[in-house]
Amino acid sequence: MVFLKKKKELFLFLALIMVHLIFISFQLPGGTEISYMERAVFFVYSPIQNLAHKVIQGISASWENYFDLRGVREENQRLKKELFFHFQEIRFLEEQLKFYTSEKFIKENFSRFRNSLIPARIIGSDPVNIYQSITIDKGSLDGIRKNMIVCDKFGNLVGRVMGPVSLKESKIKLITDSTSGVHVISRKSGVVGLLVGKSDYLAELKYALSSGPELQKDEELLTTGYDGIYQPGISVGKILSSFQDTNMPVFQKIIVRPNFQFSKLDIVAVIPSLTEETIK
Amino acid sequence: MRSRFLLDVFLAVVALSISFFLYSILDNLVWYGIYVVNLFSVIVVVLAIKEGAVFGAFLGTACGLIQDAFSGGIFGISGLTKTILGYSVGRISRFIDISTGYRKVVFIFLLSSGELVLWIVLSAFIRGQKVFLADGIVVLQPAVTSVISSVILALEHRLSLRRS
Repeated sequence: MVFLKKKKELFLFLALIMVHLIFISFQLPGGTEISYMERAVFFVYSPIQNLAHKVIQGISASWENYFDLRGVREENQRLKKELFFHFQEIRFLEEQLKFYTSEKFIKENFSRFRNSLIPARIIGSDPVNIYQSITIDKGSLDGIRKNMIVCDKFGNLVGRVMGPVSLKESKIKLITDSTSGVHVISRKSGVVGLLVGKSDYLAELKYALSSGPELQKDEELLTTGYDGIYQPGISVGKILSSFQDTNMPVFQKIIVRPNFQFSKLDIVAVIPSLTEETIK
Repeated sequence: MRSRFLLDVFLAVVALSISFFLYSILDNLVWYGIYVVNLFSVIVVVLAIKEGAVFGAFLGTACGLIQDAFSGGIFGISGLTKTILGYSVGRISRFIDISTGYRKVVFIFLLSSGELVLWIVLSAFIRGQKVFLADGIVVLQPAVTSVISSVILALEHRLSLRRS
């Protein structure tokens, strides 16, 4: 008993180490399910992150409002012009679509798409690897659910909601994360494969057969929807290089540069996943 | 005894919330900022020296788990390394003389370097892939942690001298 009292500190320390090892072992080898502990920590601390972001936003907004009004008029004119062209493009695309489907169907689909889209702001990046995940300021109260798709403001795929989803915050798994997988097809040559992140600013297209058509540099990749999560036709990235995989000669080794730009990522659009659309 | 424990818990919660708030501000302000300064390590080191090994270990656990909860990686790796950091800082600082600024900087630098190396090894071993080092910026973390922690401890020492 005296020995235990003397070594109390050491036993407490060893107990804590054991707890961590148990946490880690539960997640291996897959690491897919999020533990209640992780959810709880995220739930408690994510509002602080949101608050910090709002403080920064407030300060920078005041700075812009009071001190940096120069150029606003110019920017306004430019945005109006851009908006005009975007409206024209949408109208043109709507007209083109009418050749394939009825006007009623298009209108219904467009309004449904607008209603289901949730704009969100990025409030935090991953403390371990910037290319793994991000935190957004929308949560379950705003209608965010696990596996919803996240795109940047230009419609390029960024990732999906992986959870934990808190009341007003959620964590997003980026397509550049090494545990992320997106089924894609190349726009020109029709090569299909699985896009897997490299946990840096690039991704890799896996399982594209060497016997298939050769991919050209800058060829665009789009989602196929075969993975059951990402809706088809979303722009993902461009081919950076392709060569024969020496380890697995059956497949090509293809490096892809994702279309979304991490440093310019501020506002994202969260849209329902394919499974949710199918259920509807 | 009980009030002391409650005070410790209160101190830990306040320290954690402040460091997380500052961490989020840094994240929003400076690109790669959170990879240069690990505020969680700073808070663990400072309070482990002040409050002892057990407090340091528990605070390390809390800080590490928060870091893990906001990361897409394995939940528990940072918790494990920061627990070891907190405990070892609290324990060793009782046996050696770290009263001067220079000694403090070297002591904290060595232990936080050890924590970083352990984190890199564990991450590489468990995830089985290359560890993200933010273009090598992560290597600066122990030096920055040791300098900031030493400055905070020196300021705290001055304040307590003035009060007394």
